[in-house]
Amino acid sequence: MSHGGNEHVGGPNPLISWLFTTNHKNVGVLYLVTSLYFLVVAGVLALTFRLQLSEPNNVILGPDAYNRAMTLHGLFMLLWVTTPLGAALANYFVPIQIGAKDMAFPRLNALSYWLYLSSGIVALSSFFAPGGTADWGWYTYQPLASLRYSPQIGGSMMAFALLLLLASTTVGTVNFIVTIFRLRAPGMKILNLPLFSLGWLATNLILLWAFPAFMAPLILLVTDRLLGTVFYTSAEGGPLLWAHLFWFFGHPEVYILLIPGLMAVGDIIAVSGRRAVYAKPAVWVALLVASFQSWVVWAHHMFQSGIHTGLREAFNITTELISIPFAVIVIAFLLTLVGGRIRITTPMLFALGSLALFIIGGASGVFNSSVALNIGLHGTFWVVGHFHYTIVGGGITGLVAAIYYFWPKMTGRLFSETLGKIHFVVHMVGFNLLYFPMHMLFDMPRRVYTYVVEAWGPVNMVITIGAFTFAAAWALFFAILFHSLARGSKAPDDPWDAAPYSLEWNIPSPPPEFNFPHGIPSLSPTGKISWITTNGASPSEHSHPHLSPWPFIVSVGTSLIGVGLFMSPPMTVLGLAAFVAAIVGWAYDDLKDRFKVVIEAIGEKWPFERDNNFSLGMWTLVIGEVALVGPIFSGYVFARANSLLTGFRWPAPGEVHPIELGLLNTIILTTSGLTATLAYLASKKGERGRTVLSLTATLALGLAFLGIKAFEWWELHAHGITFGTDIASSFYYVLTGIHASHLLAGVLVLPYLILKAHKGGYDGGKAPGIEMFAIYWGFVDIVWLFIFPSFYLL
Amino acid sequence: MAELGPVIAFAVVVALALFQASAVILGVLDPQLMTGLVLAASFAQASLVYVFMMHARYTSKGVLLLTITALLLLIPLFLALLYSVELPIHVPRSR
Ligand code: HEM
Ligand SMILES: [Cu+2]
Repeated sequence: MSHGGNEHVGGPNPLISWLFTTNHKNVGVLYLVTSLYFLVVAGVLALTFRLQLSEPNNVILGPDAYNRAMTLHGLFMLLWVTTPLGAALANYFVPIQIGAKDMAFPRLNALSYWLYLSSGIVALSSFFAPGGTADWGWYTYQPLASLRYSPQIGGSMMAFALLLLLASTTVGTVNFIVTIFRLRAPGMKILNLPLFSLGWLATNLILLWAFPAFMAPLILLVTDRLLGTVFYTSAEGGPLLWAHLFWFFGHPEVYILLIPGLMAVGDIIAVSGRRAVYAKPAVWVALLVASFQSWVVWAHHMFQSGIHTGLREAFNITTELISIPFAVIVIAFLLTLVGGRIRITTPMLFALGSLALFIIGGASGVFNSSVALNIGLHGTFWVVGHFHYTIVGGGITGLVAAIYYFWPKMTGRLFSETLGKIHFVVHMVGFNLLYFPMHMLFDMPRRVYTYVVEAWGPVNMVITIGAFTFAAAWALFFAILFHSLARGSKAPDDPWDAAPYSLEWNIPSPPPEFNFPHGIPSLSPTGKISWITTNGASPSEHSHPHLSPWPFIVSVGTSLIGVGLFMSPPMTVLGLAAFVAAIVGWAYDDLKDRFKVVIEAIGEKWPFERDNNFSLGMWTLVIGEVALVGPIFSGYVFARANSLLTGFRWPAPGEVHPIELGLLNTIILTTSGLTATLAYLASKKGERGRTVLSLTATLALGLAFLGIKAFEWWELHAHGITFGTDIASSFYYVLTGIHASHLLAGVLVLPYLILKAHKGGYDGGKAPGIEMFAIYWGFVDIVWLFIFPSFYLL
Repeated sequence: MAELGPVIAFAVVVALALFQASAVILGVLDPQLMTGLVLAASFAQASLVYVFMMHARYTSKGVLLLTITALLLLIPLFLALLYSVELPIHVPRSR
C-alpha cells in the first residue's frame, strides 16, 4: 500500500520502517490491513457453519468443529475485527481531524497495534493446540467454559489471547483519550469535531471501563482453569457470577461496535448533502446519554437466568429507555438530509444503507427487551438476526462507508464509482438475504450444530445462499480497493467538497508525516480554518524519524509467551527474554532521551487544562482500572450474599488472615504512599537529594509489603489453604494477587526512577515519571484499603 | 507547605486503620454497626489518599469527572449483584 507518511519515515529498508513505525497514519494502515485479514478468516469460518446449517441433519461439520468455528467467528468478529477496524480509521484520521501532528504517545500507539496482532496470533494458534480451541461461544458461559467441560488447553490460550487484546486496546484507549482531550488545535472545541471523532471519543469513554470490566471475569476464568480457584464452579459464585460480569461488559461492548460506524455515517450524510449535521449538540448529548445507559441494561441478556423478578422488571425498563437517544441520533441524521443537495456517491449509498439496517436492528431490540416476549425469543435465531442487523448493518456497513469515504485521502487514489455502486447492491442483497430470514426462525434454537425439523430447512438454505452472496460482496470490495491502488486515478485533496467540514480535506492526499504542511491549523469561533505559520516543524523532528523497535519486540515477546506457555516451555523463555530486553531497551532510550518525536499540547485542552499529557495518561489508566477491580469486589459481595443461602460459612475475622499482619501492611503501604507523594513534591522543586531519598524509601517499603504478603501466602499454603479451598480463599488469593502484581510492577519501575533522579534527569522541576508513579501508587494504596477490611476485618 | 496535606492525610489514614482493627479485635460494637463503621472508615481513607496524595498539588475537573463516572458505573453493578441473589430476607418465613 503506497503511503504518504511512509515516504518521510525513510530509512533504506521499507520493511523496517513498517515494523518500527510509530506514526499514527502508518499504525492506522497496519490496523486496517490486519483487521480486514481477520475479517476474512472469521468470515470463512462463518461460511463453513452456514453450509452445515443449510439443510437439516447435515454432517459437514460435527458438533465440536461447529462449536469451535462458531466461537472463533464470534470472538474474532466482535473483538479482533470490528473495534480494530474502527481503530484503524481512528488512528489515521482522529489526530488529523482534531488538528494534531500525531497521537499523544506515538510509541504506545505502535505498542497497541503490535499487541493486538500478537493477541490475534495467539488466538489463531489456539486453533492448532491439541484438543482444539475454545468451543463455548463468544459469551463463554459457565460451566461450559470450565476445565470440567472444556479441558482443552486451546481454551486457556484463547482466554490468554483475550487478556492480551484487552490490554492492548486499553493502552490505545488511554492514548486516544489524552490525544482527543489535550491535543486539539487552537479553537477546536469538542463540538467542532466531526462526528467520527466525537463518536470515537464516546467509544473510548466506553472502552475505558468496558475492557477492564471484561478482564475481571476473564482473570477469574483463567485462575479457575490454571490455578484451580472455584469462582465459577462453586455454588457461591457459579454461572450467574460469570453471566453478570460478562454482560456488564457485553452490553457496553455492543455500543463500542456500533458507534464508530454510525457516526461516520452522520459525517458522510452531512457532507453528501452539503449541510451541517442537524442538531449536532443534541447528537453529542444523545451519544453521551446512550454511553452511560449502556452500563445499566446488561441483565436483559439474563432474563431467563433465574435472577430476581424485580431486577428483571428494572432492566426491562432501562433497556426500553435506551431506544430514546438512538432515536434522537437517527432522526437528526434524517433531518440532515432534508433540503440537502444530495450527491449519491458510493460512501453515501453505504451510509444510507447502514442507517436503514440499523433502524431494523434497533426495532427488533425493543421486542427483545420485553421480559414476556424475551421468553419466546431468547436463544433463537431471532436474536442472531437482531444483533447482526445492529452490528453488521449499523456498525460494519457504516465502516465500509467510512473506508470508501476516507480511501482517497489515505491512498491518494480514487476508486471506481461504478464498481462501488455495484458493490453496494450486492452487499445489500446479500445482507438481507442472510440476516432477514433469521427473524422467521424465531423458534429455531441458535448455538446448536444441526436440527431435525424439516420446516426450518428452506429458510436456512436461503440464509446460506445469502451468506455466500454477502461473501461475494466482500470479495468485490477488496477487488475494488486493489484495483484503485493499482489503477485508480490520482485523488484531489478534497474529492467530496468537504474542506469546510473537517480538517483532513484541507491537506494533501495522502497527508505528509506531520499532517499539516501549511502550519498549525486553527479554528475561528465561526468554524473558519486558518493556518498559524511558524518556522515549520522544529528541525529535530525531521532528523529523528518516527521509529522505535521496542513496541514490535515487546509483541514478539508476548506472542512467544502466549503460544509457548501452553505448547512449548522453551518458547516461553525466549519470549520472556525478548519482552524483558524490549522493556529495558525502551527504558534506556528514555534515560538517554533518544526518541525525539514529542507531541505537545498547544490548543484546546478542556477539561484537562491543568493536567499534562503524562499525568492524564496515568489518571486515565488507573480510573479505567477501577472497572477491573470493582467488578471483582462486586463478585465478592455476590459470593458473600450467596453464601448466606448455600450455607457456606465465611471465615470469621482473624480466623484465617491475622489482623495484625494486615494492619501492619496497611501502615507500611500508606507510609509508602506518603513517601511517593513527597518524592513527587520534591521533584517539582528540583530537589534531587530528597527526591532520591523519598523514592528509595518507597522502594524499601514496597518490598517490605511484598515480603509480608509472600509470608502470608506461604503460611496459608502451609496450613492447607490453597487457591481452590473455597470461594473465600479464591477471592483472597486473586484480589491480593492482582494487587501484589501491581505493586511489583511499581517496584520494578522504581530503580529506573531512582537512577534517573540520581543522574539529575529531573533537576529541571519536570518529572512526569515521578508524577505518574505517585498517581499509580496512590491507586494501589486505595485498592489495598478495601482489600484489608474485606478479608481481615469483616 | 505543599507537604502538609499529604502528611496530615497520612496520619488520619493510619489512625482510621488502627480504629478499624481495634474495633474488630475488641468486638464490643453491634456487628452491623461495626461493619458500617469499618466500611465508612475505608471510604474516608480512600478519599484522603485520592485528594491529598494522588492529586498532591492540583485538581483537574476532568479527572474528577472521570473518577465520579467510574464510581457511578459501579453502583448498579454492586446493587444488582447483591440483589440478584435471593437473600434470606426475601425467603418466605415458612421455609
Ligand atoms: C445499538 C446497537 C445494538 C447492538 C450492537 C446490539 C447487539 C446485541 C447483541 C450482540 C445481542 C446478543 C448477544 C448474545 O446473546 O450473544 C443482543 C441482544 C439483545 N439486544 Fe441488542 N443490540 C443493539 C441494540 C439494541 C437495542 C436498541 C435494544 C433495545 C431497545 C436491544 C435489546 C437487546 C436485548 C433485550 C437482547 C437480548 C436478547 C436475548 O438474548 O434474549 N439491543 N443485542
Ligand atoms: Cu445488550
